Amino acid sequence: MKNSLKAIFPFLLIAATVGPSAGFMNEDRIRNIKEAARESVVYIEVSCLSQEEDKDTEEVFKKNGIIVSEEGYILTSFISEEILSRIKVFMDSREYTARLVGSDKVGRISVIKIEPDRKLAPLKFSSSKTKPGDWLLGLYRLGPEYEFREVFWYNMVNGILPEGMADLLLLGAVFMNDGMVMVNPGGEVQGICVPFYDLTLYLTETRKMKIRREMEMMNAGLKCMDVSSVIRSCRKILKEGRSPEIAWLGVTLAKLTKAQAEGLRLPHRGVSITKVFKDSRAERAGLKANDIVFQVNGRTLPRDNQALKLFIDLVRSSPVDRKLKLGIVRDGEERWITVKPSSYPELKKQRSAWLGLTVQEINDAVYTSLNLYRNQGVLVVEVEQGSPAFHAELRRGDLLTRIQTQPLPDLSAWQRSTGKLQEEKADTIIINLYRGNEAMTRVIQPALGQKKIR
Amino acid sequence: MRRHIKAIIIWAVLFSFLPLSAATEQLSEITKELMPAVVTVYTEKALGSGFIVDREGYILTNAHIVSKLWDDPEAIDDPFSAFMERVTVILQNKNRYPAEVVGYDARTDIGLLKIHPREKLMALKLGDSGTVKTGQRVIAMGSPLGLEETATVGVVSHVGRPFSAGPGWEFPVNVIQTDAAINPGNSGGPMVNAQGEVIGINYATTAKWASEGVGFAIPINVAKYVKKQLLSNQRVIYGYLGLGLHKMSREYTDAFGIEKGILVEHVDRNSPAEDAGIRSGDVIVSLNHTAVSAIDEKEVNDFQWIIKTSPPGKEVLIEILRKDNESGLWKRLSFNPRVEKCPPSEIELRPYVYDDVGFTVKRITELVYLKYNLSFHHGVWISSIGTGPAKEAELRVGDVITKMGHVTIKTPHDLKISLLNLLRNREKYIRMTVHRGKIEMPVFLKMEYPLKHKEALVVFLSDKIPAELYDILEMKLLFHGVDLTLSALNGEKITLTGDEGRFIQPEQTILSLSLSGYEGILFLSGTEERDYLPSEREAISRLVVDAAGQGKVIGGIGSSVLLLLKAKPGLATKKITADEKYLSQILNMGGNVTGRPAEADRNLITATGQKESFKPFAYLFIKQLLNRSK
Repeated sequence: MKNSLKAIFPFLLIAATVGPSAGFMNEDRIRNIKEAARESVVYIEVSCLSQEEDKDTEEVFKKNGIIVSEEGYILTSFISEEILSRIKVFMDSREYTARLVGSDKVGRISVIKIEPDRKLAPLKFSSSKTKPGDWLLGLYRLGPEYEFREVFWYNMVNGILPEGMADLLLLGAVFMNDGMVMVNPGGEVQGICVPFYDLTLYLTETRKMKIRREMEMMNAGLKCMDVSSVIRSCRKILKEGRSPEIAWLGVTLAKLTKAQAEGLRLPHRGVSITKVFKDSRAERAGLKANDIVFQVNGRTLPRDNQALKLFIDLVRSSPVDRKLKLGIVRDGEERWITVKPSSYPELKKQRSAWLGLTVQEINDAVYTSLNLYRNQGVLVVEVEQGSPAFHAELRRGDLLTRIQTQPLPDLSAWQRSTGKLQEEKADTIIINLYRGNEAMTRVIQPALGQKKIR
Repeated sequence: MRRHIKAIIIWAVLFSFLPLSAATEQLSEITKELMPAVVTVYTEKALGSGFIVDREGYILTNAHIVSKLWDDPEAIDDPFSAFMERVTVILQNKNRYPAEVVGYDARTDIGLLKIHPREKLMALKLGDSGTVKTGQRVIAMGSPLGLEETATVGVVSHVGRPFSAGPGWEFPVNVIQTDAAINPGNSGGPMVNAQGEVIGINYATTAKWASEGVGFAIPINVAKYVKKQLLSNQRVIYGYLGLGLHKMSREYTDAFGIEKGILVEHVDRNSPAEDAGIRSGDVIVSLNHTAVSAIDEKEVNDFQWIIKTSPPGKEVLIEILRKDNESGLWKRLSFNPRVEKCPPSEIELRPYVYDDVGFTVKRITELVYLKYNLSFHHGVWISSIGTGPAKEAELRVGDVITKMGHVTIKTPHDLKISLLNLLRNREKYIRMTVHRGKIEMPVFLKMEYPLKHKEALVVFLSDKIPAELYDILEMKLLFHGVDLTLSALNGEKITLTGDEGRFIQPEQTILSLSLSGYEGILFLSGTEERDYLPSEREAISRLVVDAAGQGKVIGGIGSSVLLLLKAKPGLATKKITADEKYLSQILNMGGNVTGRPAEADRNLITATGQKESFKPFAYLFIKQLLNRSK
C-alpha cells in the first residue's frame, strides 16, 4: 500500500508544477478567497403558494443570495412575485424575514431586502466580463441541516455562450445550486447560478395556468450567468424599487432562415417581422410585416434562433415608453425606425360564476396567435367542471359571436347581455360560436349545474 | 326444515341456470353451423377475418385489412384502389384461394373480396341491423389464422353509438356496441344474432377511450349499401349537401321555442345547401315531405345517412324553419338542393408528392379547411415535410402556399406547372407566399442544380407512357438541373396514360439523332411490347450501341429493357431487372436478372414497368449521373 502511494507521488508533484500558471493558485489562496467571500453569501428559503383546485400547496425553494449593500439588499435568482408567500434569510445564526424588492423575469434575478442591525459586508461586482480560461471559485452555503456550512469548487471557465441577452458560463463538471455565486481570484462576483427558463408570455392565460407556469420557471434547470447580465437587471430593480415591467412592441417574429436571407439578397442576420398588430406601438411607429430587423439600439443582431432570442430579450427588457431605435431592411433598403414599447397588454377577463364561464376580450394579437375565425367576439378562457357552461359543452378557446341571436362584438356587450339574462332568470341561453373555423350553436341552461348557495 | 330450505335453494339455483344454458346451447349450435362461412383474410401486411355473403364467392371484411391507405396514405395516389397486393382467403376447411379486392370504403371501413371457389360455399344470411335491440344476444365470430375458430358471445350493450375512428372515418356511423370481445383477430368477421343472421361486421378499434368489455360492429345495413355500390362502381359514391347538423334536444327546442327539428350549425362553402339558400341557424323539419327531427347524435347520423345514400344528381325537398329577425317569428321555407357527389375525405385526397423539394401538398377542401383551421380556401396546403429545400426553409405541415414565383397558386396543378417552369429556368431561390395561420410570409426554396449544364435524352419507344413515370422523371431531372430533350420514333404525339387527355410532343425523331452532348439516355416504354418497323428497329439498335460505346448512362424501363438487350446482347452480362413476362427471353439471352423493381450496374439502369419501380428508376439514373460528375 505504502509502496503504491510512493509510486504515485512523483506524478502528483509533476501535475502540480506544470498546472496552468495564470489564475492557478495554491490551496491556501483559494481558501483565502473563499474566506473573504463567505460572509457575503447567505442561505435563503423562499416559500411559494400555489393554488390547485381550491387547495393551497406550499413549495419551499432553497437558494443562496449575495449581499450587495451594507443596508441589507441581497441579490438572488428569480423569485416569482405571483406565488411568493414569504422569504427567510439566515445570517449570523439568526433568521430574518426579507421583503421582495423586485424580480426581473427577463434577467432571471431578484433583489430582496432585510433590515439588519449592523452594517453588512457586501461583495463587489466584477466590472469586466468573464473570459474563457478564467478561473472561478463557486461558493454555496448549505441550509440549517448542515449548520450553514459552505461548499465550494475552483474551476476554469471552459467557454461562454450567449443565450438571448445573457452570457452563459460553461464550467464543465461542477455541481451547481440555485443562487450559487461565482467569484474571481480578486474576490469579486463574476457570475450567479439561476434557474434558466424560457420566458413565454400568454395573452389568454387563466390564473391557474399562470401559477403553474411561474412554479415551473422557478424549478427550471440551473445555468451560470455572467456578471454583465446580472448587473444590468440588479441596477434596474434597485433604481425602480420594484419589478421592471415587460415591454411589448406588438409584432410576431420569425427566424430569418439562410435560404430566405439569400433569396432576399440580404446578409444572414437579424429577425423577420411577420405581422404587426393593429393599434400596437409597432404599427404606430411604422413597422411593417416582412421588415427585417438587424439592429437594436446600435447592437447588431446575430443570426437564426440566437437573433430571435436576443431581439425578444432586448425588447422585453427595454424600459416602457422609452425610445428603441431599430435598424431594419425594407425592400432591400436600410432604414431606421424609432419605437416606444408599451407594457405587455393585459386583456380584460370576466367570470360569470352563475354560468361557470370566464371569457376575455380579444385583440389582434389574440386573434392572430390563436388563429381565430374572426377578430370580433369574446373568447372562452375557462369552463368550470360541472357548471352550466360545461353541460352546454363549451370549451376553452371557443370564440363566442352571438348570444340569444344578438351579435356579441366585445366584452362589454357580453357583460350587458349576461347581466340582463341573469336578472331575467333566463331558462336557456343560445350561444353561437366558432370552434376553429366551424360554426356551432350551443344552449346553456343556467339551472343545470348551478352552484348551490348554502 | 333446514334440509328443505337447502333443497329449495339448490333447486332454485339449478332452475335459474336452465334457460341460460339452453340459450348457450343454442348459440353454440349456431356458431358450429355458421363457422364454415367465416374466413381468414391474409395479406402481405396483416390478417383478419371475413365472411362469405354469397355462393359466388363474395366476402365482406374490414377495409383496413385489404387497403394500403392505413399504412401510408401519403404515398398513395389513387385512394380508391390502393389494394393490398397479396390477398389470400383461407376457408374453415383450410382450403386457400387467391382473392381479388372488388373495392373498399375507407369511410365505413368495409371491404369486399371475391374468390373463385372450386367447391360449394356456404353463405351467411344478412339480417336487418335496423331492428337490433339493446340486451339482445349476439355472437362475434372470427377466424384468426384459419386454424382456430373463435366465437365470443355477448349482448348488445348499445345500439347506434355515433362512432368515427381511424383515418378513413370522415363521418360517424351509428355502430352496434357489445360486451363480446372484439380483437384484431375477429375484426372483419360477422356479428350474428340468435337467429343466425348477420347484423354487423366486427370492428376492432385502437381508440384510446375504448376499454375492455366494449366491442363494436359496423351495422350490416351500412355494409349492404357499401357492397351494392362497390359491385356497381368499384367505389362508394356518397351524396352530399354540405350541412353541418346538430341535435335539437329539449334545451334546444325550449330555447328556440319550436317543437322539434334538426339544427343547421354550419353550411359548407360552395355546397349545394349553400347554393340553395340554406343558412346556419335554420332548423330542418322535413325531408321529401317526411317530418324529420333529431334529439340525439344517433338521429342526426341517421338523417345524414339518408343524405349520404341519396344518389348524386337527385333533388331533395328540405323544409326548414327560419327565425324572422324583425318579428321574432319562425317562418317555414322550403328548398330544393341538388345532391352532389361527396368531395373526397382527407384520406382520399390525392397527395402530390415532391420528394426532392421535400414536401407533399394537397388541395384545400372544406373539410381540410375546417379540420386544420386554415385561413384560406384557395391555395394548396402542405400535408407532410421530408428533407430538402422545404425543410431548410422551415416549412411546416399545415402551411398554405398561395403563390410561387409570380404565379398565384389555387390548385396542386398550378403548383406543379409553376414549379416545373421555375426549375426549367434554374431559379436559384424559388419565392413562395406562405400562410401560417393568420400570418403571411415569403419563403424561399434554395435550389442547388448539381447537374447544371448536363443534358439527358429521353427516347419514347411507345406512344403510351404512364403519366406518373414521366412526371417523376421530369421533376427529378429538372430538380437536379439536367436539361431534357424528348424524342420519339417518328416524332409522334405521346399519350400520358392515367392522366386524362394529357400528351406531350417530342421535338426530335430518333432516326436523325446524334448522341453528342448527352450525358445519359432514357429509353421509356409501357409494359407492353410493340411492333417496330425494321428501320425503327435498326435506329434503336444504333442508338443503344452508340450510347453503350460512348459510355453514356443508359436507362431502360418496361419493355425497353428487352430492346436494349436485343440491340446489344453484351449488356445481358450486367446486373439487370425486367418485368416477369420477359424473364424467359432474357434468360435465354444469358441475362443476369435480379428481379428487383430497379437495378443499377454502373452505367446501365434497368427497371420493371411497374409503378413501384418509377421512383427507384429515376433515383438510380440521377445517382449515376451524379457519380460521374464528381
